[in-house]
Amino acid sequence: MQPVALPSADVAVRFKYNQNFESVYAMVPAQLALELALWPAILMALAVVREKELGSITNLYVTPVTRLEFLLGKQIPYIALGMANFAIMFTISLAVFDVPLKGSFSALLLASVVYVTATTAYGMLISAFARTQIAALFGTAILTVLPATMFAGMMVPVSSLSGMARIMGRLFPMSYFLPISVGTFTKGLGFPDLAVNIGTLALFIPALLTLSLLLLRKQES
Amino acid sequence: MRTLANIFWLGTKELRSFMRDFVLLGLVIYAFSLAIIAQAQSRAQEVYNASVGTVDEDHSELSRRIIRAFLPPYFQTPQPINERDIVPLMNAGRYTFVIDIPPNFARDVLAGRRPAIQLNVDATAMTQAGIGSGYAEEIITTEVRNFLSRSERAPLSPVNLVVRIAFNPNIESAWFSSIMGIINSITMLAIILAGAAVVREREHGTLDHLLVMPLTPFEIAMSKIWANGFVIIVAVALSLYFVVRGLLGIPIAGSVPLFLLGAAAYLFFATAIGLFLGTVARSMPQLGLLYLLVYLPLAMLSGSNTPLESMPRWLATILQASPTVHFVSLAQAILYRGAGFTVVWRQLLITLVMGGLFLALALRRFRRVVTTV
Repeated sequence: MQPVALPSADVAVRFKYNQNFESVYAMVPAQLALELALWPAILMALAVVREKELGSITNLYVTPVTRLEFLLGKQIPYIALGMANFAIMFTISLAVFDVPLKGSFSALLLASVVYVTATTAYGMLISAFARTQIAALFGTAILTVLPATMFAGMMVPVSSLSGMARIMGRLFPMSYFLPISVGTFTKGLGFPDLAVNIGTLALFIPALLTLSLLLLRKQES
Repeated sequence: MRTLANIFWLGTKELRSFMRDFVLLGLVIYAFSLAIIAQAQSRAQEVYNASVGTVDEDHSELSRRIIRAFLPPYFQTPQPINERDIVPLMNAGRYTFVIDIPPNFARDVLAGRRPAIQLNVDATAMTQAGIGSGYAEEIITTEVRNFLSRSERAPLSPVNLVVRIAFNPNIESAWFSSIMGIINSITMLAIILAGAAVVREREHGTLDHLLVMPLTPFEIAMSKIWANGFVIIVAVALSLYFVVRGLLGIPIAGSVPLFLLGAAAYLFFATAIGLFLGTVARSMPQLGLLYLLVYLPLAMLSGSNTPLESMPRWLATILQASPTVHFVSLAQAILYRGAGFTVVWRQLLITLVMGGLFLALALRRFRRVVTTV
């Protein structure tokens, strides 16, 4: 009887950032990114369409308020709300899930402000073309939940996506915030590693705002 | 009889207001076409296109063979990188796997010194890292064994393992993810349409118009269920025939009418939940938040992303009450394995019972809410 051959070379697998391969260290920061993509967008989208549907948008039409003032005035409270959400979720991560922040807090904080501004602007864009609250609610749901859960790196790393999934992922702010959230929490990263992602995230703001302004007419036909 | 007629005509009112909302119509079409195709392409359930970086410090025939063995579709063509770039590139999430082959690796293998190859895995990319590191290890050991057997005839393994994958021979996750995409769209749309149909009438005050007519709250609720359910069933049927079977070319093993029957039962449940939430929410933003609270757990814990068997026992037990879980297993049984009514009747029954329960709950609240506006 021949002995079973021993392997002639070893493969030393190193699970980086997460030695025990526990999903909590990847999922908790990912949840933070997910929630901050969904809630601010849905609330923001409804905030504008609500006025259209219930008729109070006449205030915008008849007063000398500009469209930009109107939209920013709507957006700022939701950014503040989003940051309050961030504070709660950050505390829960540390206190309840025991997921420590290994990297730079200031990088995470700055990125979160930029991110929440971008996701509220995403909701704003949807609200600019939807006419009814149902359409705005379903629109935000389908246009945020799907890219957020499937194409932003939660299930599959963005570097592996192809085809339409890749395009949808690239056009969604969460794809750029997820590496920041996971990076600061679990990979222990700081500003130098994350500057590109924060910068890309910031580009969403003027782009989405401009599109919303173009779509929101001062006077409904 | 009169009740049935009332329910029917009230439902057509729902349909008319749905058809007039072009943005909503467009979004529904998107949810059952482009969104399904994109999900079919995303391949969330398998290792596909995983990014690999390689540091070859050996430059031997063996090291080149190992690197060449990382092939599509599982892995992207490996990119050579410098050793000092491993950390920054993995920090940036550029590569999920980095293989580091040490100097003199081939010589040490031949000399029987058992050298080690380092396989760095980004363990924050959970699914891909978990399955992919197994594949990568397998590929490396196979290459080393083949290399040796050519040069010195290493003993062959005494047992051969032949894997037979049943029901989905190419383990294509597009089969899987497209159907799961449809199920997610059903849940999303049913809850929102039914919930919003109630909230809208409350916000506009038209619920009062309905109440002064000779109609019962039951008739109002049922009309919303059938009309919104009807829209969704039509969308699902079209999506299965034209998008899943037609455009994606995915074979459907079982009976589509039987699946649609299951979908109808599930819609009954989902619209009942929607109605219930509609009676709880006082405004559309509230409904939006409630919807997220209900939808995310239903969808994320439906068993389509993570099998129930891998969840903690208590969670798996609770989830037995979730019709989404039963609908997912019903859909898989019918569409992939060609199961008939005798196999799936239990899931169908549980879904209907849960739907009935929520409808009763929604009706109780509905009566209270509409009579105390």
